[in-house]
Amino acid sequence: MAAPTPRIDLMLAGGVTGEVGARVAQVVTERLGAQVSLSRAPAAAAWGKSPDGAQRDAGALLESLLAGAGETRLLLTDADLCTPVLQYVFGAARRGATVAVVSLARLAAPAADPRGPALLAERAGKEALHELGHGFGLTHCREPHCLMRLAHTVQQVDERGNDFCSACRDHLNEVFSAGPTQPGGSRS
Amino acid sequence: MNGQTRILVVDDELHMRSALADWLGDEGYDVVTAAGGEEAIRLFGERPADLLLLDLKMPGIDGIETMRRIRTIGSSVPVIIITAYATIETAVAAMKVGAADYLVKPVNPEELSVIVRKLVTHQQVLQENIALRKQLEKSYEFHDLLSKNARMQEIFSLVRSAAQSSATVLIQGESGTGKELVARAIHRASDRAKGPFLAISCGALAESLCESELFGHEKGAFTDAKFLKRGKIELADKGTLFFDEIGDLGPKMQVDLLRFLQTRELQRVGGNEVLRVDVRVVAATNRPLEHMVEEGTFRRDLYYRLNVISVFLPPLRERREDIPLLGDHFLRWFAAHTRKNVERISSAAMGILARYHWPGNVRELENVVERAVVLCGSNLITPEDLPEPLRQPQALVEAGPDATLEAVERAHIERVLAHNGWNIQRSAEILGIDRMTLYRKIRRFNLVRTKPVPG
Repeated sequence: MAAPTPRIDLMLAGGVTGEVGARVAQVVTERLGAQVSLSRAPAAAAWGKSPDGAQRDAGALLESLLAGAGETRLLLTDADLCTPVLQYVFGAARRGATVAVVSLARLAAPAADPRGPALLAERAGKEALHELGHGFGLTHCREPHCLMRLAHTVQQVDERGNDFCSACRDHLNEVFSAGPTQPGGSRS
Repeated sequence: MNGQTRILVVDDELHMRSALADWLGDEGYDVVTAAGGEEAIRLFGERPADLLLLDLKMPGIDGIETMRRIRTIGSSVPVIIITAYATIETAVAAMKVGAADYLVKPVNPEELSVIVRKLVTHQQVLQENIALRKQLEKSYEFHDLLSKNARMQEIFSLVRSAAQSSATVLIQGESGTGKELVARAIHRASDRAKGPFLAISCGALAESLCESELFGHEKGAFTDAKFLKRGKIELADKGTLFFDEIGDLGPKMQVDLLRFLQTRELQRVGGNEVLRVDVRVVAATNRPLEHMVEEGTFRRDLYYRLNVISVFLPPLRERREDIPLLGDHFLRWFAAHTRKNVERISSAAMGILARYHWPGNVRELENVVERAVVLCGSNLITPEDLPEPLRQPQALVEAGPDATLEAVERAHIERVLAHNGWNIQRSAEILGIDRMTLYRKIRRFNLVRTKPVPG
């Protein structure tokens, strides 16, 4: 019997462009076999970059995403994210809930880099798959090119490959076969 | 490798410690958490961690005090102090008690990752170093004796062979060279190891008591002999009897001992029964026995009976290569027994130990290291922890017949520098060399100014 198709609600907040959103939707569809619906987050939710540029608490953002969540929700935001422990994170996820957030604030290519928006979209895609991986119960992986490898720097994000390693892939297949997942802890 | 690395995260706030634990767990470390200082100390006592992440402000025992208590149980585990309330005072206090690093919440993840990896690697290298050093020491070990000196290695080999027979051994050497340790090594390496090892200090026995002490007495043999008493020789049956300071044995006892060595039989004082005793005799002295034989103060026939196998232990100044080895060995022993976190002897302090002439030999070195461990206020023994006489330049090398030209030159330069308050110009003039040459020699001999002159 074929595994049920995961449904993911991808929302764009703040100044995240439709091009980046579309690229992320495309890689998530390809890598997870997911059915992705792309929408813009309600302005009232204040999930985008704050007017004063202050960081947003990734945990609090996940909490607000969780409220009323039906499908798996993935938020792409231009807000810089932090946690009470870490000065910044590229993203965060509530394992099993499943909500995830990815910040583009630190993923942009330098102004002089000709790959510009394409590189941003590629990094956003990798981070989105990484956080969704956490959301579906994966922990960090030591395989050098696996998407679940831990990254503290943009360079480490770039060093990741474009796919999950076979062990992580097997785990995802098991999760998708089992159906909807149960709420758990948050990962960043 | 990370799988075996255990990190203890201590924070009173649940979300903080679980966030840190999750994050470090994701990095591949084995993470345990504690909600406070007491719990951390208990957990650490049950199973030590390789790294500690300690919150500074906690109810009860704070981070600094927790670290101090963990240090007092003899652990040198690296500690990272993390706080949301950073001040210069707390940072200084953390560093004073030996924190490896100090981070402010929220921490930079890249920085935390690098620091943790660096400390874990450093700790692993340290552990490997200790294991290798122990392995190396093992090859220099013979029972409780430790040496890499060629003459000492020959002695170990001789003792190993001598232990296989019952032949009498005479050990000669200056006071503090380890004569009793050699005697015990002979006993332990022999097939008598399960039998008794009894030591008699001949210098401490009055001639009148010595006979009864060695041969025992029957009840009523003399006024105070209310009970039968077995002597040391009889009690050492099937074992080893060690006569320390044999040169101090009186003339009558020399005759009695000689008779026993010839017949291996004895009679208790006041008794008629002849007892046959199977005992190995080892004797030691720091006096020139051969010279005493020539003078007529020690019996020649007894000397020959004792001197079947002869061991001459060199003084410590003639096996200087052993000073760092023995110094480190004593340091670890005393640090463990006093539960002090003293890890090593600084190169300046080791330089002083290596150059000192050690009239009291290994025993003196042992006492100096014990004193230094007790007095040491950090994890490093520095020249200031050594006794004042050792730090005096004239104490370093006496121009005896065994001193090398280089050692004498070094000692003389050090003496002139100390005498002139390390005034380079004046010292150079006295030594008859130019300032640059003196600087070069100071560098070459690694001379250190131990007591700077104010101003």
